[in-house]
Formats: sequence, C-alpha cells, structure tokens
Amino acid sequence: MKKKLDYVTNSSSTSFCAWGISIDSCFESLPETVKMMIYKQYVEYRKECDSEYLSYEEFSDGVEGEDWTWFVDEVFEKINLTGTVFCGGGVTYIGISPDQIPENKTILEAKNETKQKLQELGFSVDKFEYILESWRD
Amino acid sequence: MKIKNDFVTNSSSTSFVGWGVTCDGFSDLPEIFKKALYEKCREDYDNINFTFEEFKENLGKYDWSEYIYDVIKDTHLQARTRPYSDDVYIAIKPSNRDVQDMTINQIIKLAEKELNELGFNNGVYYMAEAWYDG
Repeated sequence: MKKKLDYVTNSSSTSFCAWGISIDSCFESLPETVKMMIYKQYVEYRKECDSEYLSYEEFSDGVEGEDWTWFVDEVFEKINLTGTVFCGGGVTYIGISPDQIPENKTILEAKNETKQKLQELGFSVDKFEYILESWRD
Repeated sequence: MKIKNDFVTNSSSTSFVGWGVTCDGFSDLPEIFKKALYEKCREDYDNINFTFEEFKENLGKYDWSEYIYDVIKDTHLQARTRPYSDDVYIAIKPSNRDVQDMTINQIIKLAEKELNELGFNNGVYYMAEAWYDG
C-alpha cells in the first residue's frame, strides 16, 4: 500500500462545470443580443454606483478601458445560465451548471433547453458539450 | 469598476463535481465502508495479517484510494482523493451516462441510497471542488 504524502494547503483553485459552449473572449464576436445584455448590465452597475456611463458605441469599442467580461456572470445568471471568463486562455464558457438544473428536470431535458436558449441568443451550438475546467486563481 | 483577481494559467488543476459526500480523511469514513476497505485490502495483501482494529488504527497513515475505487465499483458512484490532503469525495458525477435520463431528484436519491448502503447517513449535496495538483 502507498504511504501517504504530506499535506499541502491549497484552496485557491476554481472549477467550472456546465453543459454548454466555449467561445473566444472577444466582445466583437458575441451575438448582438448578448452584447446589448452585457451593456445593459454595465449601465445598471454604473447607475448603482452613481457613476457616469459610456454610450453603447464607446463601450463596444473598449477605448475607455471598460471590461465587458466583468458582467458575464450576472448577465447569464439572470437567464438561469452560467457564464465565466477564463482569462488565462481567452475563453468564455457559457452553459448550465448541474446545480442550476431544477430538481424535477432530467439532465437531458436541461441540456436540450440550454441548447435552445443559446441558439435563441444567437450562439452556434455545434460544439455544445460537457465542460469541466479548473484553474488556479 | 470591479476588481478582478488575475488568473494563473496552469494545466495542473483538477476538479471533482457531483452529488455526494465528503470525508475529512480515511479515518472519517463510516464503519461499514472501513470494513469493506479492509476486506479489499486483505484480498490484495494475503501476506498481511492484521486485524480490522489494527487496520483502523493505521487508516490515517496510508493512502487507501485504490481500495475506495474497488469498494464502489459496482455503484454509480465515483471517488476522488485529493492529493496531499486527507479529503475523500464520493459522488455521482453529472457526466455519468447512466443518469442522463434521470431528474436531479432521482440522481440525489440514487446517490443517497448507494451511499447509505456504504454507511453514509449524512445526506447528499452538490459539490464542485477544485485543487491545484502542484
């Protein structure tokens, strides 16, 4: 039998698990509907902070240094999906995580509904798959 | 704007996701599970003649991962021990092909049933664990 190795603390890893798609972390390549959803989330946030906000064109250009990726989590959470940006790889993951599936739904039903939802948002679902990623924060 | 922490790219992070239970080490495993581990270990090491009590006393000193996989091999459960630590995760993974047609409720009940039979009585929860393998 194997002798156990010494314990090393490490609690700074993050995981992402979902059925969904991986896309380039590039604002330009997002479907128009999603771009607008992200912009609205940005405006909402700026208003909450009593701060001025950019026009949609300025925000899209990114010239003012506003980072759209900050709003991905909230935008997709609102429509019962999960989204996260993996900066290291320049990839954004969007889908439904297992803990977002209602208890009376099958995994298969949830996958089909998510596929449809993503299609309605304008994403291609050709590479819809089970995504399990983890990274060190 | 919100401040985001930098990510560090690395391919040596691992995750374990599923509906199941976590144990704080081999010593924390239920008695029924320990007994099953003991039997698997004895099958493998005919020349080792230690009692179940002696086995339990030594649980914390060795890595029993391979026997855990043996104990659960006829169930829908999968297990993972976290390297360099004592944590043991046992769960039904969302990617398990046999559960794709089941509702989440049914999967949780199945995990509870199979874990109960192995001595776990503390309820099942959804876990998403990740660690850096170093």
